[in-house]
Amino acid sequence: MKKNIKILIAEDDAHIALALKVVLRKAIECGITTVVSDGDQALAALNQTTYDLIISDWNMPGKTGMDLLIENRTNKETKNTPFLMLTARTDLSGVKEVLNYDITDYISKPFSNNEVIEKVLNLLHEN
Amino acid sequence: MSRMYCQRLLPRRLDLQVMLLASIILGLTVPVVALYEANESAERAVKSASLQAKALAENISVTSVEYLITQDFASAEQLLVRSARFPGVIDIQITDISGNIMSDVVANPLNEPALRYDFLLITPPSNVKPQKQLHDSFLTIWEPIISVNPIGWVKLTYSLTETEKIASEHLRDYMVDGLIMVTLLVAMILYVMKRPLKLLRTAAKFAENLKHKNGAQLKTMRGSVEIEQLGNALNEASLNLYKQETAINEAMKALGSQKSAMDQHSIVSVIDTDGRITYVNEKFIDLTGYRKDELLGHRHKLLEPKFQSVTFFEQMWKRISAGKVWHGEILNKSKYDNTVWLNTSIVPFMNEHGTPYEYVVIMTDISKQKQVEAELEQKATSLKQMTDHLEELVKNRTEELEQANIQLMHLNKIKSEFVSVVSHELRTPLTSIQSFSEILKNDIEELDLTEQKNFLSIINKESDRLGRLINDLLDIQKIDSGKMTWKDQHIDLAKLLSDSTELFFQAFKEKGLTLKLSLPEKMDNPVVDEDRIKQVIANLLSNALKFTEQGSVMITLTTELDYAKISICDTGLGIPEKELESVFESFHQVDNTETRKTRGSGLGLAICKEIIEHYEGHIWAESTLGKGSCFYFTLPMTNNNKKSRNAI
Repeated sequence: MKKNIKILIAEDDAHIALALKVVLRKAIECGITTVVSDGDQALAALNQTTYDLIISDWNMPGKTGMDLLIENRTNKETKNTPFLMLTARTDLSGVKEVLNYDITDYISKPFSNNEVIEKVLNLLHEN
Repeated sequence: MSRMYCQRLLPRRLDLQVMLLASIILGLTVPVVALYEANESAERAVKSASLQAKALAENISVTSVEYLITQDFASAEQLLVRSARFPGVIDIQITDISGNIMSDVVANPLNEPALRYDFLLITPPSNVKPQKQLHDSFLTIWEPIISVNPIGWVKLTYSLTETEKIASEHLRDYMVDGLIMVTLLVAMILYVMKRPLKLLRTAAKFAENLKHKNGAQLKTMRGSVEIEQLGNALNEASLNLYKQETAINEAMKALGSQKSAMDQHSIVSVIDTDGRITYVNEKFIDLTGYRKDELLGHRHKLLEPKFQSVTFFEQMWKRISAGKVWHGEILNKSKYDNTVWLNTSIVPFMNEHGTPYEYVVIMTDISKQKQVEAELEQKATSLKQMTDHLEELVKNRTEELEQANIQLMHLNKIKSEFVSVVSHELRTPLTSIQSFSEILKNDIEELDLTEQKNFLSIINKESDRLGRLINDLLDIQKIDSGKMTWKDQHIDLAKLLSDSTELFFQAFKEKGLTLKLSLPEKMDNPVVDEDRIKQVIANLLSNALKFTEQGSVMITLTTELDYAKISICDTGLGIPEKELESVFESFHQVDNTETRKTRGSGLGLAICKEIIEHYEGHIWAESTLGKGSCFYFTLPMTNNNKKSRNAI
């Protein structure tokens, strides 16, 4: 596993963000996770650094996870960054929109930690 | 005058006229011809007498030369006596050249001529040549006696009386003959004309009778071509007349039937170009109520403007004056003030110059029809009003239904959104709980004690959150579905506020905030469910605590005439103005970092609103960003309505 993998977590619920951070710490030993609580902060972070993976909640104040994905995919610099969408939404047909984009996946809340690890590793390998 | 006189003088019958004319013409011709012929005959007689007398004189002259030379007067006298026997001779004389009478014999018609001896000198003509002197009733011949030289004269006087007599007789004869001829001619003309004249009389009488005996035919009239032609023409005329009369009679009959039919149905009048009535039928009289003599010769009152505009009648007159038929409906009043509606047609009758000379006015009383129409119209109007009203009702009802439908759809949408949001809100704490419990379960040995405590605390908090959320959801659902049990009773609102303040006091103090309470001295007790009002106050205080970092929270209870007003004012973050109303909606949360930190169920204020509105009170918020917010609610002091609603 590549070392110093940088992961951006955009999640407005602090407890879930923390849980993700803990789960990823175990899965990717030398990973560095940055946590932001909305889409605008996520964009700002993406402009500063290149990340190896973005994990974003769908429902966030300001820009949503979907806004973030679209902007991310239209940006040359970040269009190849793997994207994992978290969602508590129940209408999965809407959620599946994210699969229209390459190197993208989603996880429904509540999730199992192993599922998160598996999807993250898959996305990183894919890239 | 003279013409009349002539007419009276002339016979009127044609045969008499013919006879008179022929008589006059012939009567004038006969004497003229007779006179002419008599004159001619007299002249011829004179001429013949003159020639005879001259021949006699010449004979005497020649014979007497010898006697004169020889002076044989006896022989000369004998000669003269012989000669004087010749009829007409009056006197014969022989003279010498100087006029001395040598022998003189006077004729005597009854006896022998006599010698006369009273010789006188007579004057012979100066010119020695035979001469003739014509006197009234006698002729004098001078015949010279010549023996180498003229030696004497023979003077012969010849009577013309006989000649005149003959001429007179001739004239008489001519006249008689002429008159006989005239009579015969006139008779003949009359005879010839008799038949044609008779035929003419027949034809005349026939023609005279044609006026009441047309169609009759004359017997074939044999006579002259003209008479035959006349007969034929008369027959033809009679036949044509018959046909025409038959046609006219039929037409008249038809017209009569039509008129009678029209009189049965219509009100008919005829007016002249001045609008004066010249004819009215019985119906007209019945309708108007006027007598016939009150109408005839007077202006047609029905055609004068009374209830309709002057323009209406001007246009009518303009049209009929131009020879066009006018149709229209006229409103008027009869003599007895009955209002009548007349469906009217005015038909102009034109003279040979193409201008109207009279108008036939045909009217039908349509008052009943009009009345029925008016009634129908009234009915139609009321029907229309009813229909309009019904339509209005239907429209309103439809609008209400549409509104209800929209509301239902809106509610349905809200419901599905609500379910979606609830699901989301339930999943969120569950995610933390699941994730951290998995970490603790699988990797507890890799965590230090602080982390373990922290994660367990998170699980605990999220479980609480989940529990609150579920309770709030149940409350909302109970209130919405009317299944909430309201234990309404008179409560001491001031005491309730005091208790709540006491309950929260410690929490506020821990956060460094002051909680103040202001109560009125005395007030009535509203009838409400104490637990629910406690829930409202706890929610509002909990929010105030949550969103206030420093300063104080003030609870104030005031009473107005019929309601109590409670306000809870903080010195916290404040709420943007556009969200002052939506904060009372389910799962609405003012979007800022602080709210995310201090996340509640998102149902607290929605539940407060439901409870206060259940008691027909009001709840609202006022705020200045950065300075704080005030939440107010009112509770009516009289609660009769609620009781009755509960009873149902």
